[in-house]
Amino acid sequence: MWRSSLLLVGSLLLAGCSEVQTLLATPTPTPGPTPTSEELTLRLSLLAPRDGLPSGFRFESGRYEPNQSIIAQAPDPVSTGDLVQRWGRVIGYVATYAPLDLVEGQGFQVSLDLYRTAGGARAAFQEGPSAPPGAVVDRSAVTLLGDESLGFRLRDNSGEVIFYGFWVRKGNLTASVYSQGLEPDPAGTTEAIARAALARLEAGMSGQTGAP
Amino acid sequence: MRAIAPQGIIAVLCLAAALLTASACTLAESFLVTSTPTPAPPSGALLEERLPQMLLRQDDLPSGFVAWSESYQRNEDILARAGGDPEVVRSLRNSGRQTGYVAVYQAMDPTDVALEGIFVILELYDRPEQASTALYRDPRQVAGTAMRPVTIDPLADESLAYTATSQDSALYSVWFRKDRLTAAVFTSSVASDASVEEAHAFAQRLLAHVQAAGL
Repeated sequence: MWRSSLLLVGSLLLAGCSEVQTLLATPTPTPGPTPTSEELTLRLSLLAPRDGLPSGFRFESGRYEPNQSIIAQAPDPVSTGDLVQRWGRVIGYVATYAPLDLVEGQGFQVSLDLYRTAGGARAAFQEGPSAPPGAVVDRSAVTLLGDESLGFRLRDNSGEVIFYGFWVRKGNLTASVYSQGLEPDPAGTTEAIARAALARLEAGMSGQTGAP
Repeated sequence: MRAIAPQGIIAVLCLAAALLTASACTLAESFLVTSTPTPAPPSGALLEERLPQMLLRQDDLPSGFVAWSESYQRNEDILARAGGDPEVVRSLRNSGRQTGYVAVYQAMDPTDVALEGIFVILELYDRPEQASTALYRDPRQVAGTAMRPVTIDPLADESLAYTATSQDSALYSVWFRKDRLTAAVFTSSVASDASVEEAHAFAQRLLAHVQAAGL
């Protein structure tokens, strides 16, 4: 279930629309010169969180996710290609984290997406998560993180939670966290992971990515 | 929009290296180096956790290069890919292999560089003897390409190198063992002046991270 969900959530940010309620915040200025998209592209793999994670989990795998591969995997490649172009998505990076003892059904994924402009990232963010057939997105109140953030859980028809999600945007970068099996507080733990991802994004935007 | 597809030869290398870890190989000509005593290494679980820390880092890479993808490569993954092939199962069980980690590095703008890509594989074994045995299984047959041995300056506890060249590309691989870990660095280049020294330099940087991680 975990692996199929990973495939599922990978395309959520670029999937179809649903009504959105986002929590907007005043952008926080970052120190120093703003890195260019090219510089952030080269740093993206370094922005995946490697510390501040829930205990018992570790970085399992990571890969760049170019637009080409997202479009190729999308159910509707043409409309997905249009969205990618309209939002000005540059590239993304997907990192997967697994329990040290590899318990089936436990783990989480962090997807980082870079857009040419903050406006493009905001437009992508505000499309919001959408549910695949047979599932429902259930929004939840969350702490405001970054420039905007939102939390949700994806439920199946029986009401069982398939995974927890937390999105955060900072400038022209977004981080999407999807988790499964993070008991006893899956929503809180998912938010904590998003905080760790945000800290990396903020460090990256100020040019202090450090070693992975 | 920039969309980069992994270079074909790198994708082939990934597959070939995965097969190498699981297949029974013949003994290869090798370049032995005198073993160096090392302090007691970290426990297996701790060392497994540290594998990602041993990889090449941004500062080690040519300008414009990134860690395009990286992942643990567990025995379960190899067995699943082998589809129950009894020879693979037997070979893997007898090898003492604990786990592995692979990474592919390439330029964000591949049209701008002669070096097509760098591929790194780390493999952890139960005991140094098992790692040594693994190091000398035949790495010359990669994706059906005949690899020939190349002399290099010794690295770590023992090391060896191979190359395969064609009209338009050159592939170099440098392999070393440090205690119960083996590492291999492949470089693929279209440059006519490509050399094993380039792969060796990456292997040296990799070794520094391996040692810093406690081996």
